[in-house]
Amino acid sequence: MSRTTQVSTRLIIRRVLTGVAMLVTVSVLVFVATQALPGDIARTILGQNATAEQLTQLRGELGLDLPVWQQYLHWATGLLTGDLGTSLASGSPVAELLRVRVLNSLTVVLIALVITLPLGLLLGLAAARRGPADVGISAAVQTILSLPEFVVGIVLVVLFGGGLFRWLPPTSPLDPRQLAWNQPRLLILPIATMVLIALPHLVEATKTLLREELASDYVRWARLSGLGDVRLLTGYALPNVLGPISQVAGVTVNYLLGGVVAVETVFAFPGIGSELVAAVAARDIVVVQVIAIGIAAVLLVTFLIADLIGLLTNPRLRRSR
Amino acid sequence: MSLHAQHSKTSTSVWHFLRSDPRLWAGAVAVAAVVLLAIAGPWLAPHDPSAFVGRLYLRPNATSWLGTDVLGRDVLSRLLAGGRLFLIQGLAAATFGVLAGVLLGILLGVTKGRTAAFLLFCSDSVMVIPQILLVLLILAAFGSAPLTLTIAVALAQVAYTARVIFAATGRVTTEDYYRAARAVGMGTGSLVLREVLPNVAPAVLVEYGVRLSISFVALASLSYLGFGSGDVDWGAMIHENQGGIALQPWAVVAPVLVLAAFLLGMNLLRDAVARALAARSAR
Repeated sequence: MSRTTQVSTRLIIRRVLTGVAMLVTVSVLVFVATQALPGDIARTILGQNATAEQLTQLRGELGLDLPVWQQYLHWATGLLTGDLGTSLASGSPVAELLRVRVLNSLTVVLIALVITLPLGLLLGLAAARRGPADVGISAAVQTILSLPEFVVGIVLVVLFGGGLFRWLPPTSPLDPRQLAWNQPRLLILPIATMVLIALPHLVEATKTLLREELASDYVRWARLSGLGDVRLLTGYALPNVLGPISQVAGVTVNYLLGGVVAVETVFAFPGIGSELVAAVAARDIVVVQVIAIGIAAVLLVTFLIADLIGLLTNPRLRRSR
Repeated sequence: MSLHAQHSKTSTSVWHFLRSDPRLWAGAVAVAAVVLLAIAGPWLAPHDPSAFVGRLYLRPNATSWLGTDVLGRDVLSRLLAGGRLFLIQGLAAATFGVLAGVLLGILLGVTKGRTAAFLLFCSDSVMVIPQILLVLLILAAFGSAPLTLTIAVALAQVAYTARVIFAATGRVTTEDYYRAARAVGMGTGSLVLREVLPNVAPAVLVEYGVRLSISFVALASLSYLGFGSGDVDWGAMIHENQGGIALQPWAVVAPVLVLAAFLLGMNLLRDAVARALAARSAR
């Protein structure tokens, strides 16, 4: 074992531990924000007309009469052992309620990610060279960046879902008996919206990173020795920014997962985002907690993978053979 | 007198960069137009925004210039009446969020230690959760009255602002003038007021612009998702008239255009100011 290998192993272990600590912190924060703060959940659920006995009984059922730390431990061990609890609004197990919806959302997010990553790199690469391409791409990027996610979806509906052209269904009420994958016509607009939401961040970051790299000394020397722009970008600058770009790709997943809330609502798409909105409206904190922790956990794992790719592609930490 | 002269000199140099930037003027015109529309709108509205003036989803006509909505109410009147609360809420949320974030960021930046490190870690963990989720968590626990909504959006900004201001404070505390001031025995309070605050002010200004935009976006989204005031509101208008897009697109397109003009204008203004500040500090 060489010295460099040891260093990077230690870095990797450290990074994994930080990820775990963050997940624990996030779970405490989610729990505190929804359950432990003053604010009577039992009364919220039962309404102002509830009797004292009803309130006491519900508090007992929810474990709200226990000390806060016991409530947290009970809740956290439940999550870890796969017991997601029972929905307050519908009375059915949360796991059952979410199974199909998780699959639906996952389908849309993954397809959007697979389209966004190469497209974003390509457009970022095109915009890194100053010129008409940069002006056009930057204007589009800034426009989308300043709009709310739901407006992007609505504009697509107005254009293609009935306002101007009637090419695609304006909403996507999936048939729950079939996989989302098998209903492609209903997926086009939601996926297009997700791609448009996530793309600008990736394009902007890729452009900025490449521009910084192009301004560095080694690239200027390569340019002086007669290499062209395209060759410089793809052969020299791009490999060196792969690490940072993998982190930006991780952030892209963040925008996609945040975007499911608005996008699924626009298209009445049965996924975790629209379920979250329904659960918040019904004050169903059990479902809200599970969805929030689930999304945070997926994001933490994504950031972890992105950071590890960054560590492993960093030439200064490369393993010596 | 001399202080005043110095102050006006700095602002002139920022203004010098700003004046020639077309982004500033385009942004200012768009934002001013929408703000005026929102303030004066309720008096200009031709109809009562909640009165039924005709059949539902009527196309634009002589009595309703933008047509009618899902319940047969006048779209133009609702558009004119729907901006006031939205603008007030956005302004309040961004202002309180940034104030709290600046306070936290500076505090963490000047008091290095275990407590500060722990708080920073918590604040970073908050940023793992997408912002809309953070707001929805708070709404799930406390309901969605207009005030709660504003506070929730404000709270969701704190960690982000704290991060930016913490970094800006860190740059100040490693500078020689800060160390020198500390070495001669200046207390933490005066260090913050006399050395840190003036030097992080540009960062605070840029951050305030960013948080304003994000707060307005968040509030519009939340009212679209059904957590608005229940009164007339641009986000809610888009939601309730979405089913009629094929029949009467104006009921959706009009509020979308107003929102887009406002948010794009904010973005242009912010961009112009950030560029001018950067250009000044580069000189």
